[in-house]
Amino acid sequence: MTPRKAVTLPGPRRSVASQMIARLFSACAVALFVLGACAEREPRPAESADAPTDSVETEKVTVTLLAHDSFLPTEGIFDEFTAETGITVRIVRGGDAGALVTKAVVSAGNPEGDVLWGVDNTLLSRAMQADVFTPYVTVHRDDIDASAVALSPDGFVTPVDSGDVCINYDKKWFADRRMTPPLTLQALASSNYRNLLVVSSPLTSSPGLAFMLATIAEFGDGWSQWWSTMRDNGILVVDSWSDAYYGHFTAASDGERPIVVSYATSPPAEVIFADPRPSEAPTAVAALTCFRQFEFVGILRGTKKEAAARKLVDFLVSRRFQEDLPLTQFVWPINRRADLPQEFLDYSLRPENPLSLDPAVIAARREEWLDQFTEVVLR
Amino acid sequence: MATLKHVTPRVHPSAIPPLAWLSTFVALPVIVLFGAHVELADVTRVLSRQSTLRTSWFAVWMAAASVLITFAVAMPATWLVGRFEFRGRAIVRAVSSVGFLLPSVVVSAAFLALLPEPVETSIFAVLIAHAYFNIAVVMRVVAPRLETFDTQLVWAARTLGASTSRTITSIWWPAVRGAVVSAATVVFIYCFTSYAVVRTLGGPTLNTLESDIAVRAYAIGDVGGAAVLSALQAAMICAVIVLARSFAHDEDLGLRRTRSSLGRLTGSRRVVGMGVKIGTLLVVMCPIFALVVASMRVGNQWSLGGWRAVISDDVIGSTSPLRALWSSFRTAVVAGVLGIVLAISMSLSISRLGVRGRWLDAIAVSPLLISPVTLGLGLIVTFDESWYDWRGEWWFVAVVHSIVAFPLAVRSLVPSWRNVTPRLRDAAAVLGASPTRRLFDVDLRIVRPAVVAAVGLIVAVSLGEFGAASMLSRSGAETLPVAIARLLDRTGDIVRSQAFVLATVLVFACLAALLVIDVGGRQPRHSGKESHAPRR
Repeated sequence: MTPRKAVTLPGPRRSVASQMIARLFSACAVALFVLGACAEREPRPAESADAPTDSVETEKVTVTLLAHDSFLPTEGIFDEFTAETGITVRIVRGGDAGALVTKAVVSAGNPEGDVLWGVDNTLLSRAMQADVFTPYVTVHRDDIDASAVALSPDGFVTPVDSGDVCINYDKKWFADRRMTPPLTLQALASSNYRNLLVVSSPLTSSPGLAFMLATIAEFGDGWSQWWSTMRDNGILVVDSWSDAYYGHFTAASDGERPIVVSYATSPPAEVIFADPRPSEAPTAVAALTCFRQFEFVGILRGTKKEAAARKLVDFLVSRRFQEDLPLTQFVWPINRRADLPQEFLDYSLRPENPLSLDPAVIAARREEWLDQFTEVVLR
Repeated sequence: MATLKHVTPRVHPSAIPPLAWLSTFVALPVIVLFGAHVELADVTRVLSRQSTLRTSWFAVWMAAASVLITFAVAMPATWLVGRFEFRGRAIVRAVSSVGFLLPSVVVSAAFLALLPEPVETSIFAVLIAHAYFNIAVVMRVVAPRLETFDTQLVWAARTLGASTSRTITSIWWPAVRGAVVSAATVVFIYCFTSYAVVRTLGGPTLNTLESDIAVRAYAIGDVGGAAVLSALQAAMICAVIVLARSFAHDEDLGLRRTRSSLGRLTGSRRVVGMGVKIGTLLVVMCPIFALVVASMRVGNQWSLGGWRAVISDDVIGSTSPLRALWSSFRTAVVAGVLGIVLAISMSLSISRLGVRGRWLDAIAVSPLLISPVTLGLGLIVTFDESWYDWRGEWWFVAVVHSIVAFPLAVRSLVPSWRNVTPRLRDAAAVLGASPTRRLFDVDLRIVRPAVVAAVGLIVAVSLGEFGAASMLSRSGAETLPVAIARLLDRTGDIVRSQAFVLATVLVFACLAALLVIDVGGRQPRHSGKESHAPRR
């Protein structure tokens, strides 16, 4: 530090500074006010333009539905619900499912919203331990897949959809080389498939975590041995599902890996979101490698709008809403009465006996497993 | 040292609003989070982990290497822009800021497409991307200092027989040292806390403390552990800042009240200048070009399907792109207004107080210390009830952006206040100017280029910011980077193409905004104000 007589600026007179600040702040306040006014005029996304005019009889309540970033139902789907019940649904998205649950945990009892969409069976126990939800049994319970209801027998959460994370492969790549695609996890370890598989890391990606759990469900304590073999067999671990699928998978990028971890509903998405649509999906799923994920919805403990929140949960598992799920979220509805779109059925595969693990076991051992994974695969 | 010992820290009234702002939105949330979720056991548990040490070491050397590469890439263009007037100067300035604006998700995707197979997902990819991102920081912090450098000093030294190396060590270096060290510190900190780039381009094997914090908080659900790691990270950044400060004491040598006139490129310099200009534009435009190409491809074919969908506002299963554009815009405007008012107040009081305001300078950089994950969680547990339940309000994101951009804005403003001689203000007072008039017609006019640059920086940070925007919940107000990241994370060629369309829109919107801002900031130069600048 050089001792230096600082340039002797004369101290400002107090009046100068305070006037200046006052002026700047009033300008700032005006700007904010104007912006606020602009914002007010913007229509709320979930509000319907043709809301019931006889608002006298319907009570006006707004329920906040917290959801992860992938929750993207058809615009206007809640209009009907609003018309029937007078309840307006405000969707608030906040990151991926892991971030959503962590935020719900730190604000347990004093929630950010009233209903939470998107806690899955890999995260459920973490939320339950933190006492995030308040129980409610939906009126549609009898229509819901019983195996899903069994995951939360006390009714703290209600299952809403399910999906499978599986090995996907590029059909053309294997056909061109007259090779058999890998149909089991065990087969993947064969040297025939050296340098062909790309997966996303369980530390940063939800399908990556599901796939790690699939190997644990399949091999038990021998799971890390399988990963160690795979490492020698040239497995590529990348950061996110999109890196894997769109950075390295031959069917979806210029990449060089024809086997990828993705969803069982990726093949229909490949068809439905292609322009022009191919007659047949370019990719296929290895049914024996699938791990089933369930998503749940729950009423957040501490909500001041519990009655309205219950009605929303009922709507979310009702046929009307459930039928919107396949083509917007590419998941299977949980309501057995829901009709599925033909194009979804045509290209989708629903594994008969998917791999699964008890949520309580996942919660208890998740950190240990992830550390082990880091040690074996990422070191 | 004697003079320093007797210096008592003082507060200037204009520092009160920014201090209150930082205490409310940075200090308080962090304290609340630690109070609620951290136990002593977390500290020992995290610090004794082998991986903590390994991660810290990697983050340090990776950030240091990034700084060196960033300067190597950015200095030629910074010199050109800071010292010379030439055709396309505003464009070079604006274009080189683009890297800073782009959401890291998008840049990473572009680099993955550009880099050859053996280099992608390696430490090299990370370093190159960091350099790309931070060109703007070096240019925006160092170029204004070069602009106000008085070349007459160099001529004087030359006349007195100084060699080239002597002029560099005795005149140039002392004059720019502060700015260079400032920029280097900021770049170091950004790279040290890098998250998305390290994740995507480094692959899962490379980890910074920041990415470890996110893993602990979200994947494992260990909030206490994440908070402890972020405290460790803050301590390390503090150490870097203290170290940097011992190099970067301010020198007034060679700085003048207003911009000295810029040189013209003549003769062989013209060729070199041309080379630097074209080289920089190429480096910066390459990933953008890759984006534009990607936006016009669906699968393996050329198609404008993505553009059609975005223009007709019909993006599959997403909030509308136009709404995302609008929320990005309003967030950036509010963040810009808030940020510049706070940064002007803070930088004014730092420069008015001289050495007695050093502590304010230290406080001004405090937002850089805080991990976005920790800050986000802190805000959620703090502003959570009755009238101050602001979680989920769209403007809350703007508040956070004003804080994220604050250190950079203050840094770029502080040197400029020193360009205002008190005598000029006194003269105005004698001539009957009111205090407000003096502020607007004297001070703010002289610092106007720096203020404009700072607004540009805040707007840039806000437009490209992803972490806080994706972390804080929001209702129907996703900003463009969030919308892009979400589209990139879905299956389907059309969806992917739409993500690149939005990224292209974002880049060109930002480019246009920056050009306007830069051109706007240049105007006073032609009003002949140089002649008013008194020479000491």
